[in-house]
Formats: sequence, C-alpha cells, structure tokens
Amino acid sequence: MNSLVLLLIGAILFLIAYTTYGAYLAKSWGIDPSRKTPAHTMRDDIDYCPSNANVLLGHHFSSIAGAGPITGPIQAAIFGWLPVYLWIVVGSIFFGGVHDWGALFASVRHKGSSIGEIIRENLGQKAKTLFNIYAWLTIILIVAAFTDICAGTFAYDPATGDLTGARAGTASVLFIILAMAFGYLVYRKGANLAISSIFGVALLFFCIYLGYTFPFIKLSKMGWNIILIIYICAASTLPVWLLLQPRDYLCSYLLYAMLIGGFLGVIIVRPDMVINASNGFAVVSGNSTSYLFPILFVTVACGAISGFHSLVGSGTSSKQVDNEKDTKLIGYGGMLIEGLVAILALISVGAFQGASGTPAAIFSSGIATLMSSFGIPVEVGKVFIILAFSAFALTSLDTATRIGRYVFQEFFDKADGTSTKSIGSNMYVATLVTVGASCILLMYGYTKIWPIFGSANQLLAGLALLAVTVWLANSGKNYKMTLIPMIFMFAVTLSALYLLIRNFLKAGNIILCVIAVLLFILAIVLIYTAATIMKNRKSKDLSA
Amino acid sequence: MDSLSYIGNLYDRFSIYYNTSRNVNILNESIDILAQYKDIQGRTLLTQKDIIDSFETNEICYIKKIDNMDISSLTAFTEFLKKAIDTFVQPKRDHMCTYITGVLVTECPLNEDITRFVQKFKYSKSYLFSLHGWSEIRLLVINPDIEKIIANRPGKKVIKFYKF
Repeated sequence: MNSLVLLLIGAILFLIAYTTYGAYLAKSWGIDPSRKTPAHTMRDDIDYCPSNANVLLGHHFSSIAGAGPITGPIQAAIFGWLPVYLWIVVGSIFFGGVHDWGALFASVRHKGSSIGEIIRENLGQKAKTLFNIYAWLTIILIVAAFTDICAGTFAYDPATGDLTGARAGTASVLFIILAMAFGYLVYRKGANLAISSIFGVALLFFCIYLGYTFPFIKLSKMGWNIILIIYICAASTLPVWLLLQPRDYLCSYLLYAMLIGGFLGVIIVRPDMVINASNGFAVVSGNSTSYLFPILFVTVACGAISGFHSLVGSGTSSKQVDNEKDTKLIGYGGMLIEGLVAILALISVGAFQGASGTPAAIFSSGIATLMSSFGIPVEVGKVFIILAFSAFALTSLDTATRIGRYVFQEFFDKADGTSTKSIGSNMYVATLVTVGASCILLMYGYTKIWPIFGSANQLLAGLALLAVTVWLANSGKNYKMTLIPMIFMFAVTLSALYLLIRNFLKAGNIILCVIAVLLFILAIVLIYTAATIMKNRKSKDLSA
Repeated sequence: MDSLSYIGNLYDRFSIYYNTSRNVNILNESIDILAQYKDIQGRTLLTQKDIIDSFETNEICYIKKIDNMDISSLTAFTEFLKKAIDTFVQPKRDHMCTYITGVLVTECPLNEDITRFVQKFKYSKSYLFSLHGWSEIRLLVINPDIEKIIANRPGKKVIKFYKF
C-alpha cells in the first residue's frame, strides 16, 4: 500500500467524519449556537474570554499534542501497519474525537469546569483521593518512559561512532538555553515579542546547525539519564515564565515545521509501506507474547484516544469558547488532526525497511528521508526531527513531574485542602520522591513501561467518558456514542493490566507487577464507586 | 482638557479592569487615583484548586495631580514610588513581576529638565536573581492641557492607555 494513499484516505475519512458524524453528534447533544458560553456569561478577561475558534484550536492542539501520537504508533507497528492504521482512524473518529469533544462540551455546559471537577462532583472526595494515587502512579510511569526514550535517543555510542544522538542532544541543550534567554529577554527585559520571535526561530535553526556541526555533548545513555533527571527536577520547580512558557512557544514553530515537512515529503516521495500489513493476533517478541487485543489499544493512546486530553486540555479551552458550535472544531477537529500526526508516525516506521532504535530515532529517520525529497540533507533532517520530538517529550516530562509533585504534596494536605508543614508537602521533597520513584522504573526501559502507562492513560479516558455519559443521560440526551467507547476502554484497560501483571510475574519484574496490580485494583474500585453512585442517583431520581 | 476632567476620564477607564479608589492617602502621599490589577496565569489538573504551576503579574498605578511641577517634586514622587515598591511588592515563588506606575498630571509647562529627568528615570529590583520575580517603575508625566505625555522607557509600553 502506498503511504500517500493511506494519508489521503485518513484525511478524507476524517473530513467526512467531521462533517457527517460530527453533525450527528452536534444534533444529538443539542449543540446550540445561540446559547451563551461561559466565556460570555462569566467574562472576566482573565480566565473567561471569548477567543477566535481557529486561534483556540491552535492553543488546544499545542496542549494535547506531545510525543504520545508519535511514540504509540511506532511501538504498535509490531502488529503490522493495518491494525494500527485502522485503530488510529476508527479511534480518532469514534473514540478520541468523541471523548475530547464530549469533555469540552460538558465543560462548557458546566460553567467551564474541568472534567475533573465534573468527576469529583459525581464521585466525591474519597474517590478523588483514590484517583490521586492512581494519577501519581501513572505519572511516575510517564516520567520513567520519556526519560528513557530521550536518553536513549541522545546517547552516543563510541563503538558505532554514530553522531546522530550527540547532534540531537547538543541541539536540545542549546535549544533549552535559547528558550531561557528568550523568556528572560521578552519578560524581564521587555523585548518586543514579534522581533524576538523572528530572532528566536532563526536561532532555533542555528541551534540545529550548531548541534549538527559541533556535536560536543557525547554522553552515554546513563549520562543522559542523569542530565535529564537533573533537568526535570529544575524545570518542575523553576518559574514557568523562565523556561516552560518560552520553550513551549518556540516548540510550536517546531511542531508546525515538522508537520509541514512530513506531509510535503509523503506527497513528493509517496513511499510504499514495506512492513507487513498484519502480523496476526499474537506477536512473539523475545520471551513475551503481545496480543493485538488489548495491547494495540493501550499502546496507541494519544493518536486514537487519550485521557490526558480531557484533564489538561479541557480546563482552559472551555473558558474561551466563543460559541458552542466552535467546540466541534476545537474538540473534535483537534483530535482528528492529532490522528493525522499519528498516521504520519506510522508511515515513518512502516515505509522504511529495517527501522530500529528508539521511537524518536525511527520517526526522525523516516521523516528526514521524506524531507530529503525537497533538499534537506537526511542527517540535518534527523537532528531537526529528534529535536522536535525531544522538545515534546521534555514538555510531557516536566509537566508530568509538576503534576506528580503536586499530587504527592496533596496527600499530606489537611481534609479542607490547606497545606501542612509536614516534610511530604515540601515542594522539593515531593519532586525528589516523584523523580526518585521514576528512577527505579528506569531500569526496566520504556518498552516495558509504555503498555502500563497506556493502560492507565486509557482508563482516564474511560472515566472521562463515564462522566460525560452520566451527564448526557441525566440531561435526557442520547448517550450511546460515549457509552460504547467507555465500555470498550474499560474492557481494554482492565484486560491489558491483567495480561501485563501475568507477563511481569513470569519475567520476575516485581516492581512493575506491583504497580500494575495497584492500578488494576484502583481502577476496579473507581469503576465500582462510580457505578454505585450512579445507581443510587438513578433510584433516588425514580423515587422522587 | 483640564486636569480634573482628565483624571475623571482616567478613573472611568481604569474602573473597567482595575480595582480603583479615589483620593487616598498612601505612605503620607495624597493620591488622586489608586488602581490595582492582578493577573494570575497557570495550569490546573483536576479541579480549579489543583494548580500545577502559576505566576502572577501585578500593576499598581498611582495617579496624582500636581500644581507646581519641578524637579524636586518629581524627585519626591519617584522616592514615593520606590518606597511603594519596598512596602507593597511581595516577592515569592509564584511572583513574576509587579509594575509600579506613577503618573503625575499637571497643567504646568513641561520643560527640558523635566523631560530629561523622566526619560532617563530607571528603577528596577530583582528578587532572588529574578526567581522570585522583579519589580519596575513606570513613570509618566502628563499635561492634558497641551495633550503631552512624557514617559520613561518602561512607561512607554502603557502610554497608549493614557492618551486623550
């Protein structure tokens, strides 16, 4: 199969789904363009402020797009390109898109509350504490997985003498320094944003050039692990304006350049998919066997459906929605664009024989080859793509570390939410404990960690779908479109966790096994709690 | 436009977004308009209370009508602004910056000495190497009668707001 055909079919299906299924959902949910949104009714021009739909789509997409839609499809390609492709397309249209849009729409109808608040309202404080434990376990998995992926990508192996990792690592370090200088100049020294942006983007490409020409940071994987751990500890405690904000801002230019380069490359080169279309239901890899169901559905998370979208994204976007009809473009459209990124990642691994290494290395190799069709040297393209990938991975890393630190601190707060003076509520201690726990997991490597992270993330999606389903049901609206994905996601996550527990036990990976067991138990308790509360509410409503 | 009408207009303009007060006495200085604004940006996780990261930007504006404008009165006003920084700025981890905007409204002619003084005036303070933020003074002198505004460098960023 030709990759351009795959990309075009994907794009056309997404377009058809957007206009047809999207219209059906809008009608079923009662999207009302004449109804005032919280951005108008609660306007304060700080949090609540109506924004242009296209601008808001850009913000929303930047928030939800990370390294996830790239890593997942590459990891899942062991099943062959066809099942991965089908899951990305079907998942984005019927699962992820519905999930993201439903969460956004529910938030708009709940005065801009985040989906978490909607969950909390329904499940109560006890469930919130359980959820925090669940979230913290998920976060240490994310930190471990992305640290391992980045370290493996930047590592220099003197035996092979391959400089790609060292080049990308050097460029990434220079990029971080550039971002901090950018933040300092714009915020502290009041430099003009437009002029600074032009220089910032030019210097960003200069960092790539410098990294490519003078790859002076040649560290082993262990060396990079240490550097990255120090980095995330610092990044999660430094002021946001100094590093995170300017880096994310400059990152958005990398994202757009990478997407344009990749799509152009596919259109010009039109490579055929060279990996098998399907490798069957059970794929043996080393000592373990991976089953298409459920492992495919937890491995490809962000490219098809991701619970994190509803947590981090919905709290802010919903407060800026100008008109209810815009939620379709932002929630549903944003997820479909992410689906296209995932297809691009699949092409990067599927169209080039013998791709190996970390997901970042595979993705960069594929996209760089495609970009060479319009004159960008492959080696330079690789450094550029790895830089872009690692920038997203680092964003995921320090956001996850911040969340992990916060959740850990909250365990020590009083019942009324006020902070205590205990050592556990200290910001630095909480950061060290979160990162320390992730360091223990690092020894297992990202390939073993990713499926558990995927399961945990997908369960979050299931819970968000549960909240939306209950709200739709309570409002007397059609809720089948969220109920079916919800049941599927619960079935996927629980069976995936069961299989992972079995595999970890067989392999003697006790720590991973314990985490998987804890996630499984917490998931069951959360689902049970939700079901009981909903049942009681229904009986109460009936008796009333 | 005379000074009093201009101050009245300014008050209405401030009232939209700022917490405003008229005729207050601060640090032994009588101020015609006190306007304060606080902007907190951040990300939350589950509920609005679960703040992952945030930073705040503040602006405190002191608008004062002055009848006799000379270098000594200008110096005294800038000393008041510096004192206001020491008294009211609260550096902490989430604090990014506080702008103290001092505006003198006068009908006196603005001579070269005053213009030079204002344009060259610069005062900024960093807290813990900027990790706990910084503060900066914006200084503006306005003559609404002849529709002239003089501002120091940081003040130029807000000059549009004070136009007639």
